[in-house]
Formats: sequence, C-alpha cells, structure tokens
Amino acid sequence: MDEKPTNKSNSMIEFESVTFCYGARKILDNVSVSVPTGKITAIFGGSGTGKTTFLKLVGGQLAPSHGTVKFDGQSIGGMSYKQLYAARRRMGMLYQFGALFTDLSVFENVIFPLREHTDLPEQILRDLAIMKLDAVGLRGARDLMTSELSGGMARRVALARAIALDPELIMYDEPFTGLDPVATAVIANLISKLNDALGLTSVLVTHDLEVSLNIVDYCIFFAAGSVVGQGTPDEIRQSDNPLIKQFINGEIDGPVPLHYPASDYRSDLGLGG
Amino acid sequence: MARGTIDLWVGIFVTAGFLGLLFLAFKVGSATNFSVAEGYVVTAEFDNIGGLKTKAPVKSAGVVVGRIEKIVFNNRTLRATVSMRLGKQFEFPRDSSVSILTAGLLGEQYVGLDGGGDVELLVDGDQIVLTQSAMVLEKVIGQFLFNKASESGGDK
Amino acid sequence: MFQRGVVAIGRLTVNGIWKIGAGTAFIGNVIARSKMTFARPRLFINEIYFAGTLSLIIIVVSGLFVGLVLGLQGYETLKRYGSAEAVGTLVALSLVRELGPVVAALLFASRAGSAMTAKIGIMKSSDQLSAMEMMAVDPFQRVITPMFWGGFFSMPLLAAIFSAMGILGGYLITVVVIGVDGGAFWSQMQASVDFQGDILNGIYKSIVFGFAVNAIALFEGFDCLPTAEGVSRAVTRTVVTSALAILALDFVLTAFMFTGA
Ligand SMILES: Nc1ncnc2c1ncn2[C@@H]1O[C@H](COP(=O)(O)OP(=O)(O)O)[C@@H](O)[C@H]1O
Ligand SMILES: [Mg+2]
Repeated sequence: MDEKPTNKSNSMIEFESVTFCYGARKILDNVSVSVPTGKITAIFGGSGTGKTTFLKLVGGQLAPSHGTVKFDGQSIGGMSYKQLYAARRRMGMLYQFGALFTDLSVFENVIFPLREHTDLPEQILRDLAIMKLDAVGLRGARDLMTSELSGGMARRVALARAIALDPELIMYDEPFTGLDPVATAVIANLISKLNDALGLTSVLVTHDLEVSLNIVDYCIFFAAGSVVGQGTPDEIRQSDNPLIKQFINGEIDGPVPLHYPASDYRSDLGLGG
Repeated sequence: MARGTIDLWVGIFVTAGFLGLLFLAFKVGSATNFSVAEGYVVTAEFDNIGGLKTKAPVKSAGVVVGRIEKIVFNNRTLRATVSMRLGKQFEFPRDSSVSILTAGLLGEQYVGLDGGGDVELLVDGDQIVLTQSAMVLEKVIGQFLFNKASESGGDK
Repeated sequence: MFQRGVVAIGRLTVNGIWKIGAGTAFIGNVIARSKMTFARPRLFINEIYFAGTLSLIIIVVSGLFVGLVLGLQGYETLKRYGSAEAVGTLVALSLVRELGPVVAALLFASRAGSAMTAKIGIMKSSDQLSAMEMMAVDPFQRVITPMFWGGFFSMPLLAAIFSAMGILGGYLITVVVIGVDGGAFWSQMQASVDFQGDILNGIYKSIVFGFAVNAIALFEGFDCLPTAEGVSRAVTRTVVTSALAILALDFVLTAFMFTGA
C-alpha cells in the first residue's frame, strides 16, 4: 500500500504487441499503444472493436493471448493474486450501465469499497462517502435505491463509487451511451473536472466524438482489432485518414465495413450458382 | 432491511432448527436410552438366525437393552456367532438365555434376552450358552404336517 | 440421422464432463477462499437469512401437510392389520429417513437454490461481479463463499424442521383428530426409531444434499451466459440438476446407510 509507483516513465498503461482472442476469433491483433499519465485519453472505435476488452485487459480480468500489458510499468500478467488486487485498488472503472449493486442503496454502494478496504470508524466512512457523492452532485440522493435512479444518475453514483478509493487511474466504458444531451454534458464535465482535481489518469472509451474531443488530451482509434490512428484532438480533426474521417462524419459504409464477414449474399439467398 | 430485523429472524430460524433437531433426538428417537458405544459385548451361537440383521435390537422384558453388532459364520461349529453390545447400565446373570424372536407375525427379527438366576453377571467378552434359534416358517409348517400325518403324537 | 444422434450423445458427454470438472474446480475454489466468511460473521448471517429464514415458511407448511397426509394414509392402511398405533413409527421413519431430507432439499433447491442462481447470474450479467473485482474485492470471497456456507448451514436445520413439523402433523391428524392413543403413538415411535441409524443418518443425508444443492446453484449462476435468457436458463438448470442430484445421492446414501452392512 505504501510502496509508491516505481515507474519513472510517463505512461500509465502500456500495451506491447498484445493479441487477444476469444476462442478462434481475434479481437485485438498485435496492439502496441500507451496511455499517458495524468491525461485524459480517449479510445474511439465502433461497437465490437474490442474497447471493453481493452479495459478488461488493463484490469487483469482478461489475459492477453500474446504480448504484455503493463500498468504503471509492471506487467499485469506477471503479478500474483495479491499484487493484482493491490494494482486494482489503484484503478477505478465506470461500467457502461453503472453496474451498481442493486440490493444496496446509493449510499451503501458508494461506501462499499471503503468498508471493504479500510478499518476506519463508521462515522469517517460515512463522511467520506458523502463527500464522494457531493463530488458528483448526488449528496441528496443517498437514500434512494438504485432502481429509483435515472441512467445519468446511476452513472454518477457509479462514478462516486469508482473514485471512493482515490484511484490513480480511472477507466470509463462508454459513459455517454443512452444519455440525453444534458446528462451527457454533465458526465463529460465531471470527467474533466475530476481528472484535474484529483490528478488522475483517465481512459475514456466511447464512440461519441463530438463531446469527447472537447475534453480529452489524446485520442486512440481502434478498428478491426488494431490501432488505426492516434494523436491530439486537433490532429484528429485534421486527419485525412479515411477510417477516422468515416468515424468523424458518421458515414455508413467506408473503410470500416458495415457488414460482419459473411459468405456471398447471393448464394446465401440461394440465388447464385 | 435493518440489521436488527435480520438478526432477529436469523435467530428465530436457527433456534427453530435446533429445537427441531432436539425434538428428533429426544422425542422421536431415544438418544437418552443408552449409549451403545459405551456398552459391553457378549456373544451367542445359534443354529439358525433366520433373518436377523446387524443393528437389530436386543430386548429384555420388552425393553431395548442393546444392539446386534456383528454376525459371522463359525467354520468350526458350523453355527452363526452373533455379537451384541449391551448398554452398560444393564446387568444380566451369566446363565441368561437368548432367543431370536419376531415382532408381530411379519415384523423385524430381534433378540430376546431372558435373565437367569446366577449371581455372577455377564461381562465383556462372555458367551451366552443357552440359545434358541429363529423359527423358520417352512420348518414349522413341515413339522406340523408331518406330525399330523403320522398321528404318533410324539414330540420331535 | 444416426450419425447426428451419436454426435449429440458425444456432445452431451463432453459437456457433462466439462461441467463436472469445472464444477469441482469451482467448489474447490469456494472452499479455499472461505476465510473471509468466517472472519466476518455479518456476511454469513445475511446469507443464512437469505437461504434459511426465507425458506422457513415453505418448509414449515409443506412439512405439516406431508405429515398430515402420511398420518392419514398410514392410519387407513395400518388399521386393517389392527396396528393403528404403529402409525407414529411409520410417519417418523418415513420422515427422518427419507422424506425429511429429500423433500426439504427439493424445496430448498427451488426456493433458495434458484434465488442464489438468479442473484449471482444477475450480478454477473449486469457487471456487478466484474465491478467488484475492479474494486479489488474478490467476488468469490465477498459474495459466493458466504452464500455457500449460509446455505450449507441452513439445509440440515430446514430438514430437521421439516421432519419435526411432519411428525407433529401426523400426531395432529391421528391422535388429536382420529383418536389413536397418544401414548402408544409416541412410545412405539421411540422404540423403533434409532438415534444413530435413523436420525443421524437422516441428518447426514441433508448435509450431503445441502452441499450438492448449494454447489450446483452457485456454479450455475457463476457459469451462466450473461444475458437475461442465460440467467433464466441457469435457474431452470439449477432446479432440474439439483432434483436429479438429490434423488441420485439419496439412492446411493440409502444403499450405504440402511443395508445392514
Ligand atoms: N465473453 C465473450 N466471448 C466471446 N466473444 C466475446 C465475449 N465478449 C465479447 N466478445 C466479442 O468480442 C468483441 C469485442 O467486444 P468488446 O470489447 O465488448 O467490444 P466493444 O468495443 O463494443 O466494447 C465483440 O465482437 C464481441 O462479440
Ligand atoms: Mg463495450
């Protein structure tokens, strides 16, 4: 707990030629990429391009088929059970739909990681949890059950829970999906505010370019399991990479194919020879 | 739900469970009768044990005083040697006799122990000499028919 | 056609073997990570509430009715042979040797086992287990293991309550309602129910069933496909597999326990 990061480099996360397969299906193909410390990095990519998989590899919930994933200079794959859990205490993760504990109230959800990891007196834990809830503007909602929350509120509660242990790295998995523009702006604002206030490293997985480009410091584009482009938001806006342009302009079919690989359409319908 | 309410209900459940166990142990079964493990073992030889099984009760005057522990065939005497463990609080004279009886017409077989008049008591490892075998229905019926047919009226 | 049948059998076998292997590893894992459950009694108590207390009503009511029926049927039959007093023995032996452990376990599987599978399955499909892992809390230790031990502890108690309620039900219908002699009812029962051979063996059975049902329920929940349909299928599998396991184990245990070997 007291051992402070030994890493002197300025990459919180490093992927070194990482390949990941589900069975025979390659999800990530020889990906080498790094996420700078202290910045907000966005990971863009269409649905099913392996963005969630990327985050799970960082959290050690999945192990790469080849290559190394490093967190703060240490290889996740080389960690013991204890070391892995110690590393996870330094990470926070915001799930796509919040993943709040449905049998607990808002307050109990936020205090949960504190209770599990500290022996502090109940009163202090309570105050800490209330401070975290206040940071996401939901101090008044602490006695609600999770089923009583709107999508945006649920994600803010989950955010309060994710920052409860004061992580160094926080990962957001599609935090804007399914939210109205106001809730989206609220979350985007929180992400950027928290990153500056707490000195975090943030990884923002999303396919919402408009909102994200305004708050992030660095962008990485995924397509078909590979990194197809990266750079600062300005570089991205000016990029003439067709994959990125398709993404920015929302064209239906382009270099990123609309269709899942399939056999010939005509013969599938029984028409062809 | 409040922690106190959960505790209360868990308390009720666990108490009910242990009351159930106690009820089964003392009211339904009879754990108090005697502890078989602490008894002493005596043996007896029978010509025929019929359908006697291990764990069958040994009764004296209708009271369960022990259990059959082991039944083996004795190669030398060609008879069945039955070991029974009797509760240590029960005392029987050395010349007691045992017979194999049936509870009701078709019931389970058990060993009946009838006390004798000796002043010395049975102790662990003793053998009871006076035994009466199980009644085998076919033999009884055969005997009955044979007696009827011969009209001799003689015994045996 | 024939070939397809053989392929299906092969697949079932492979799946079956895989399940047994994975299930064994799973339960080994549960037991190996039990320390937290016993270091934090609160977790254990909450799961006793979830598995035991919430099953209490169905166990009490079913036990009572099973006893009433056994008493009535037993009385009608034994009366013909002039031994109506033996109805106490009949009710008690049926319950403590077979019906108590078996029916209580079947009810437990459908009441608590299915709820456990659903809870774990939903926690998995809504990423709650994964989120817990990312909070550096081991879901095995924090969620699954306490559930296992809570259920394991509750099962024999539920079976005892079931048997006791059944015997009281038998007493009610035959002694109180029909008028069989109460003294004979209890004394015949006590004379023929053996503590070691009948009651303890019945308890051992319920312990084995408890182990099996809890292991199956938690494994199915943990192993389910993380979708609504996956969870519902897992719940069904829990009930079906538990029922089969209980009946098969009952046969094996009975063969070992009650054949005077
Ligand atoms: N448990 C799994 N088993 C098999 N395939 C999976 C599994 N989880 C995800 N996949 C596949 O992996 C691909 C990448 O998934 P994911 O990383 O969740 O994509 P996304 O970029 O949308 O977050 C998807 O095509 C998905 O079908
Ligand atoms: Mg995803």
